Amino acid sequence: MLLVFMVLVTLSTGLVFAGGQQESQKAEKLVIWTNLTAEAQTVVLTKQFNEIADEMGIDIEMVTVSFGDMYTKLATAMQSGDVPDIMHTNEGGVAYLYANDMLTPMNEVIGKIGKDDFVKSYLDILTVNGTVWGVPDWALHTSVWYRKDLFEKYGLNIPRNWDELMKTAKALNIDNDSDGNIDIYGFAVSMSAVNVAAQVYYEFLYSAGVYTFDPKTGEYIFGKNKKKATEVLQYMIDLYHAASPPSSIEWAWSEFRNALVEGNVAMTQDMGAVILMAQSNNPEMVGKLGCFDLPGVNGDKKASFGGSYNFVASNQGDEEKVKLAKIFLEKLYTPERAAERALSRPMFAFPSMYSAFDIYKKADSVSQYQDEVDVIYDAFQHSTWYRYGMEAGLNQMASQIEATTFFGEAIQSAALGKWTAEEAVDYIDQMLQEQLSIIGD
Amino acid sequence: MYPVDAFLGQNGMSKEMVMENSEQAYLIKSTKQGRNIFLNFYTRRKLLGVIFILPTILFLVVFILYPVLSNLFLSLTDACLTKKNYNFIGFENYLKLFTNKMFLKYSWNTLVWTFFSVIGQLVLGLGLAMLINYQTIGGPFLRGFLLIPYVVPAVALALITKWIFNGDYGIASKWLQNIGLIDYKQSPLALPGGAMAVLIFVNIWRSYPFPMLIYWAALKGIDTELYEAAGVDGANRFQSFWFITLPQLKNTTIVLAILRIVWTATYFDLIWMVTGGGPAGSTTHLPIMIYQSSFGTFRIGYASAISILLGIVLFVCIIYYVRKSGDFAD
Amino acid sequence: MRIRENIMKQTKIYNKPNLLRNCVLGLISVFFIGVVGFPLLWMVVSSLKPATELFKSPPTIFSDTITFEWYLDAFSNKTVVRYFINSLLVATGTTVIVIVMATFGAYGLTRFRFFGRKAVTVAVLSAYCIPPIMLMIPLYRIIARMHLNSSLFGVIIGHTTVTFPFAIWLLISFFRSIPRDIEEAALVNGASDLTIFFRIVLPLCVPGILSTGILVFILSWNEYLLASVLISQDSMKTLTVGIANYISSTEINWGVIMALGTATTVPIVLMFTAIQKYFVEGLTAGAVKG
Repeated sequence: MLLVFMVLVTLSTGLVFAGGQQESQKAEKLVIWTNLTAEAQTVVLTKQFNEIADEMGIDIEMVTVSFGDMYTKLATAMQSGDVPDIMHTNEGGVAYLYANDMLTPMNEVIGKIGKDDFVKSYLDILTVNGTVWGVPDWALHTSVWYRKDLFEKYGLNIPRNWDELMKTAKALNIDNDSDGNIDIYGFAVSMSAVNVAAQVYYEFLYSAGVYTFDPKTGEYIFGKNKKKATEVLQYMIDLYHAASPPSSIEWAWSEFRNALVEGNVAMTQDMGAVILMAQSNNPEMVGKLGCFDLPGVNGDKKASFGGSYNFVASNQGDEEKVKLAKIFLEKLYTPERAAERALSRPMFAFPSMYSAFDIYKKADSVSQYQDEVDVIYDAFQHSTWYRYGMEAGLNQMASQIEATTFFGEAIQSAALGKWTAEEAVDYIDQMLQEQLSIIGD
Repeated sequence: MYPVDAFLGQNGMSKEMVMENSEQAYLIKSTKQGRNIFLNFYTRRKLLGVIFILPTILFLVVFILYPVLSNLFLSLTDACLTKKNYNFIGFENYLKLFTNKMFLKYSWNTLVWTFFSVIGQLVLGLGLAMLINYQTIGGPFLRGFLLIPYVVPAVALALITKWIFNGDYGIASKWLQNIGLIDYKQSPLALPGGAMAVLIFVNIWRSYPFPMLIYWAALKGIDTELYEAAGVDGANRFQSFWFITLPQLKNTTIVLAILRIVWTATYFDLIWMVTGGGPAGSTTHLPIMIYQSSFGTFRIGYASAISILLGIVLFVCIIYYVRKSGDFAD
Repeated sequence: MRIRENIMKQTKIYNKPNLLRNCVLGLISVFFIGVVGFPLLWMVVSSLKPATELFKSPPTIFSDTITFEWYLDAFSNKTVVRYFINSLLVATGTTVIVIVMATFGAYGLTRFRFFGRKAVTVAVLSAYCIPPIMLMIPLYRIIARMHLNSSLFGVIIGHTTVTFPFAIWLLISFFRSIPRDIEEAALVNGASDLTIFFRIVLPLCVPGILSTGILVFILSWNEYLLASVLISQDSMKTLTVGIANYISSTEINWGVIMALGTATTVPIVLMFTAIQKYFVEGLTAGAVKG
């Protein structure tokens, strides 16, 4: 009996460790983390990483750490000294590593790939005083995705300011069977407390020119702009009451995308991922969807909400390792490879290099959306876009907003009428300042 | 003849007593044979007992006692997951908590969640225990079936809940919409009161089997003579339930209630996966606040302080429970 | 013995043939079977509906066509298969460690008398009440310090902490219910303690140990909080954490989610049904005393 137990214990422990650790015999090995966990994306990354590793004659270990776990995992890694050599992450992750002094400057690598080939706005986010701290891979951009067929059917035009948006949204509250219940809602205002509420609110805030930090001085200015922030929130809540499904207060990405794809709403904010969802869940809808940029309050749009994925290299390894990582990154940025990575999430991810974009645009998966591709790529090149808290460059605030729910709680409370918009903005301001004091410590 | 039998014969002790004293019996035998192993024997037995429970003790110390003490210590520091060093800051975390208006709100949510969940599962548990106790046809099947929720993974339950209460396609939402309880295309999960009510309902669904079983065992243990006597006195069924069954179940109920209060107040998975604490923080209870403070803002010192405050309340319950089930502790 | 007599008497009292009573009880039973069964049934039914039926409003109870596409979808994903394997390894590892420790522990606590025995029993009982949320932060730090947070062993340790007190609690009542006569006799006969434990006690306790083991397996399989905190590498996640991520991910696919939910729940329910008899005995034996 004891023998059986012992054998079992040994076996299971062995299995566990076999699963957890795979020691390599080769001397040179790069550890690469990515936040991308969707299979289509990891498949491409794995393929490219292996190709390059073979080319260079080194070994790699790719670890997928999902977005939600990233900060915790990074914190643990920093404390135990297991920081990856290369990391593929959004600006939040870059800012976090930068703040903790863990990154190698990338100017040299970008120079070798060709600085002019990169869209400027992609590089700007990662640049502090002339030093670029990462190599941008691709970025996403928030637009309003809408039902072209419904706009046509009801003779509606693309709204040019917030008043028109409200009117258009109301006009698209459609009761098909005249039973008194709205079957298609005009505009989904999604407010899931995890990330989504903050993203939607920030798209409205940026359109109206309200920022967390002053883009020029870097000073915290949300508190000074509370009046405007309150108006923006009030508009968002009015839009919710006027034209959004009541349950959208709890909607996250999947719900609002599904609602558009299944034909329950006529407009929603999104980053182009609806397309992939339409292709897999409701192909009929694919041809009926289009996008436009959320207008500014009076038509003068200030900025929009976006985000990027980037490769960064750690400065923790020895000189050899850092050099190796740089060569590895350089090899990742051929136009073909960059385009292939962005195309693993078509219409959502837009490549950072012009040369890659040329390939991207011709790809089958986006061929049907040439107009939309142009709208979005134009925004990337010519207008301003930020991730929350990053208006003045790399800032850890993004991670604090991402990992907490105070934005969502305040916005939902206001939408439910438990708080006034003013109280909600006050609370957000108070929490932002509290987070600021923690980061500042 | 074994010495035990001789022992039994000579002293006329009951068999049970002999069993208790068999170690001595063995000793008597040994001493009779002139082997002086008295100390040896006891030492050996004790040593062996200690060896048997050594892993248990070690484990309890390293993975239960140490974490609890570590929590206590951390709560007095400004420890942050993102920083390597931390300072001792006394009771500052506790002071911050008491001045945080959200702490009061989340504590209240915890109270509501715990109170209704526990009441619900005890009442339902008792009701169903009586049902399976009296049910004659298909009794074992019924009991087996009613026990299933005990092992349904919280994650499966959470996704079922999200699906059947989906505003557009959820069948339960549809029913609620049809009877006019909520608006068309609305989901109770998007309403503050509704979300809490759904969560409590689902929690009762998943946790009544344990009280049901315990009550069932307790019901079987009630002396039937009491009922017979009551029957003779002309008590009806309700009266015998009220005056006999309930008082007999008092101790069971207390122990059960304490156990379930502790588990419900600290139960995280279901709420987290169904609503994440929303909408508008209406289902955020203290465990979610702890989680958010640890892995949202990374302030583990602050999170530990919440967990200690929650712990103190529960500790009182635990002590009471351990004393109440003193029989069990033997 | 007493209990059995009571049951017989109670049955006699309450089970006078009464059609009305049986009908009422039957109806109540059917009602509760419905309440318990419906959500699970709905999950299974939903996992077999094609997309067109799934997103039909109002929903149909049974769809005209049955499809296994969601299952194929779910299990053609390598990560999902990995989650299953991880959960299996974690639950098995936890069960083995917990059962070995708890069997020795429960035997030690019920059969030996030594200083501090009562204290340990009380400690086990208290540990049973300490919730995972309170152990979360320190455990996370311990595991991180031991560099176990990217191996399954960290989760196994976590799950051991939450299941061990429950296992030992159950086993103590199993051991108590086994008459000591045989052991006494063997002891008197000069058998060594270890021989008694391995040759006599363990074989007698096999049903109890087995069912406790399966319960520990189920608890570990179902556990979410610690598994999500102690593992951050995607390929090392357990099934519960994987599915929970799926729910909050950017592309939720209800069909796949329902298929995964069904695939997670069904084996567990079947396992539980198999050991239910022992579980009921074990739990109620302890409960009657307490």
